[in-house]
Amino acid sequence: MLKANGNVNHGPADKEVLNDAALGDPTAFGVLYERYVGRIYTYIYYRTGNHNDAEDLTSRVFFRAMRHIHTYQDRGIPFSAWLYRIAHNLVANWHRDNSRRQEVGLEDAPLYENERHYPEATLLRSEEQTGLLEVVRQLPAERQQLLILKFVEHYSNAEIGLVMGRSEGAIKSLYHRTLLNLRERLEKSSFQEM
Amino acid sequence: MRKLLTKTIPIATQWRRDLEHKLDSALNPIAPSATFVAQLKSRLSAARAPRPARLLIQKPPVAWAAISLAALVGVSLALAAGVRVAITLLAALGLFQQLKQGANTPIKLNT
Repeated sequence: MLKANGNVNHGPADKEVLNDAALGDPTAFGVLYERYVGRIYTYIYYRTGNHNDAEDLTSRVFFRAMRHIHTYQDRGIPFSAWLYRIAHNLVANWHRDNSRRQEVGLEDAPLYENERHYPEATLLRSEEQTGLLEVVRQLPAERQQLLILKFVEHYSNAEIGLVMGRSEGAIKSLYHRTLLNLRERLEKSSFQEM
Repeated sequence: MRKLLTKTIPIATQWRRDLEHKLDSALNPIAPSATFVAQLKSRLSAARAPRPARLLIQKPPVAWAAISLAALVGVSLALAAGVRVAITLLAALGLFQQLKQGANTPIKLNT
């Protein structure tokens, strides 16, 4: 049972809905969509840094999930993990395409620039928080994923392991290395600002 | 000695707690706009709607295609064989006629 954003996600209910959705029931897929759209959007938003791309990629995640839902098999991996994997792959492709185009360098891209267009999603962030998020965004993809799942979704190491296809111990170790790396990067960035 | 070796060092040092606190404050769930959620839902529903009947017409099964192909090849072979037999018969008839003509022609001896 995965807890996210303080809400308990009922596994068996997910299973029942999934069975119906796999059989082509549009209402069942709609239930899954409403249950997970916010989480997937949040994940993609933190990985891309802007609402437009987050919306575009969230749409793609759900279209892809809908096309392939009949192939989903419950092997102890929750449905959310399956969705996060789709999202992770699409975000990776997005980063690859962006780096090829090189219209705007990732480091130069203004992060969270268009929050003013989304008043309902806007968070009042301090300068320090924005700086921290920018540094987080420069981390390798798997480390960003780990931090988002831990601090946004409040998943445990075991649950993150299910999503990322790793053992609980590996996640614990990766988390510690990520924090060390993040501290180092923050120290560097604050030194550069001085 | 063993106890000393296995004694764990506390990892949760102050810097780590501070950093975790900062991350917890900075990383929050972001709600997508209500318009986007509604629009995407309707797009997904439209994509799931049953396709028009004309698209559901089934293509002929593979077995039928194989049978048709085999019949076509058979007919072609039969035709080719028939033509070959006819040519042979005609040639044989021509040869027979020539032999017949040859038999009726008296042989002139140069004496």
